[in-house]
Amino acid sequence: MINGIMDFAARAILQGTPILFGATGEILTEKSGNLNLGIPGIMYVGMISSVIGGFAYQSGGNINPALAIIIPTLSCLLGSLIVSFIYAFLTITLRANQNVTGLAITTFGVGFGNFFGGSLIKITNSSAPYLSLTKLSRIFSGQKIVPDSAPWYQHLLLPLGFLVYVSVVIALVVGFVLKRTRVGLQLRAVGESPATADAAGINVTKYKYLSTCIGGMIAGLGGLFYIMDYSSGIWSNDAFGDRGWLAIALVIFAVWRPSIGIIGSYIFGGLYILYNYISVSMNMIPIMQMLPYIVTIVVLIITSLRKRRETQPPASLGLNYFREER
Amino acid sequence: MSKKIIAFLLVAMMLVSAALLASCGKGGNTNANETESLLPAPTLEKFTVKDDFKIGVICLHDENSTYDNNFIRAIRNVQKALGLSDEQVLVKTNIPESSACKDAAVEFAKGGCKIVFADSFGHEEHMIAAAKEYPDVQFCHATGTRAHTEGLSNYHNAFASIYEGRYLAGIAAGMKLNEMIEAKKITAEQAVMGYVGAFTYAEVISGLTSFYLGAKSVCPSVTMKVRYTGSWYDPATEKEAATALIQTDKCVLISQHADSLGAPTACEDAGVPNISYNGSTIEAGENTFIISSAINWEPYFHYIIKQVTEGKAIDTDWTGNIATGSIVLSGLNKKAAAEGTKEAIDKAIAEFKAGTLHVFNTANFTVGGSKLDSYMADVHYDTAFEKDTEAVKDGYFHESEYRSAPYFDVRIDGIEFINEKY
Repeated sequence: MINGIMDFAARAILQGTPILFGATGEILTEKSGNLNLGIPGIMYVGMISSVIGGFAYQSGGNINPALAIIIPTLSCLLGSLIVSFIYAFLTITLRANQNVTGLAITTFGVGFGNFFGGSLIKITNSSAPYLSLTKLSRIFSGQKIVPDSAPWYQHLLLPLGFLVYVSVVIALVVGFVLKRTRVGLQLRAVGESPATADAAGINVTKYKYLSTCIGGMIAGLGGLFYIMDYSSGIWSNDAFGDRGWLAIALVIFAVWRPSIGIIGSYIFGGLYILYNYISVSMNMIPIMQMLPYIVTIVVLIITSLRKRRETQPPASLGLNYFREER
Repeated sequence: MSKKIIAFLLVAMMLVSAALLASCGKGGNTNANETESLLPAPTLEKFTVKDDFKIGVICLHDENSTYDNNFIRAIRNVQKALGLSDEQVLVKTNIPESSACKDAAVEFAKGGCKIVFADSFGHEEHMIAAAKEYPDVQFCHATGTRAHTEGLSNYHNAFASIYEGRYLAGIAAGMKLNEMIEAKKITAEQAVMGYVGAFTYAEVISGLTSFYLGAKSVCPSVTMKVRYTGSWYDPATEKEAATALIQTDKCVLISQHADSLGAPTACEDAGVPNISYNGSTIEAGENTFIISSAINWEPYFHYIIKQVTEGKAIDTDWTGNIATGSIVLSGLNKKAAAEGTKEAIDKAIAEFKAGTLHVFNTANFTVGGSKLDSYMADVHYDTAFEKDTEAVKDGYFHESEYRSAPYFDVRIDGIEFINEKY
């Protein structure tokens, strides 16, 4: 019984980890006042970039465990950096509407991923349309199924690859930086009132660029985790589902606090697969998979009713800053 | 100025990455552990097609979908075999199951196509509408159910007896279970297979039942548990369903009827053998993939082009089978398949060809504890899904005989449906 619960917990954590990466990145971005709805696209680009890097490396033949991790990771960071930079350039420098730009980036990212994914599949001339990086994936992922005889904690811990721990550490570090450091204080000032921050001598543009780009790179790691660990290195087009949107929903659920995001992502992940562990009919699956969104809406309603300052979004979220407008 | 430079740099970067990708070398897709195909696609007979002949193919998605890829590869192979030009074989991809399908079909018909083909179940009513408007053009539809009741001489359905292919793959599963029992890894009672199905349609039930019966023909103690996902393509849901089958339901072998690699990768992660569908997945499961069955659509494309070229009528319902070359099997994975699997499958293939083996032989299964002597199947199209045709005769269920699309939807003993609607 306990083993079964631990198996479920491990699956929930694996489901939750891509969402956690995305949400942590988005929290960092939103704290600077930029509402980046391009996160689903950025995660998708992060995913395909790591696939391109990994594929190029794997085709070379010999596989060195260190390079097998470094090359896809760097490719992923580079890919998501470029896309978040495009978003930052459009919204911060050119002051384009953030919502429209973000949605465009998502559409672009998914199309970009499917185009290059589809092209790579054509190159391999495979009989079924998928791309396999299983050799690299084995280095990323944990041991997925644990024998019954193993003690309960192994059922929880063995399936988790190292990126799960990375996601928790990044979330804690981002939470710490935002709350306890001078940099974090200045970043929050930019997000709450860029004009005030500007008057205080804070470089608003620099903070916005950095938080958007770093946030995008963190979100991109969610794509890396999804492809290299969760999906066992198998790329097929449109496999990422709605995890990017779940990440944005999680930001609201976590009331802009990465530490709550950790718990929240595992709750989301657990709700997402709960139908397999309680007896429900297949018709209930879509309804069960709706639960994270319903929970988010409930949180939104509660926080808007209570109007506590700590649980509100950054005051200038979604607004572009233009110094001459004061 | 600097903005312009940055914008220019971004564009340049994209072009460079595209160029890099294009220069990537060709990776091979042959795996040394996979044997020759056990039931390969036959070579196609060449005949002369008139220069003004054209065929239009309508696909629901593009090559990146396992399902549509199977059709696109087939028509391209037939094109190559008959020496047709790209102007003679036109393919439209990403055509939804809406009036867009009729528009595409009409466009093909107006453009001079002698045959218009559509590949998805939901295309049917739109194909029928187009067929009524263009009586001189032949409209062929895969997986549809209405041609035999519609009464149109230029509208045709096609399918293949893939349940025979699933039965053969099931034999490979049964052989593997026997090997595990002999090696004392499991007891005979623990020979439980798992099956990830998309929907509760007859097509899926026919497939999973024949897979089960194939396994049972060599491993009598086998049982099976089925989880549905409610989607044809959802990698994570399929993976979680397969994982739950392995972890919670203690299944020791998995097969699936859904389009993603969710189940095969879950099997590879867990080290549980997998029987795949629609093409070899050995690249995703080098230690656990055993064999895969698929429908080969080449013979059908070849047949309809030949009939039209010779001015003959196309069958209203065409069911491809092993003899027509419409059922194909991949090779066996030497790392995972049990000893003697090839011989057992070859024997069954010979029996299928001789007509002595019937998958749904009522002597081989029971329903609610008793033999199935009579079953009214829903063969004719109507919105009430009325059960209208007696399908059990001469000791077996006559699948895909009264129409090409499957209609076997009996829940037999030994198969447990875990999350089907009750």
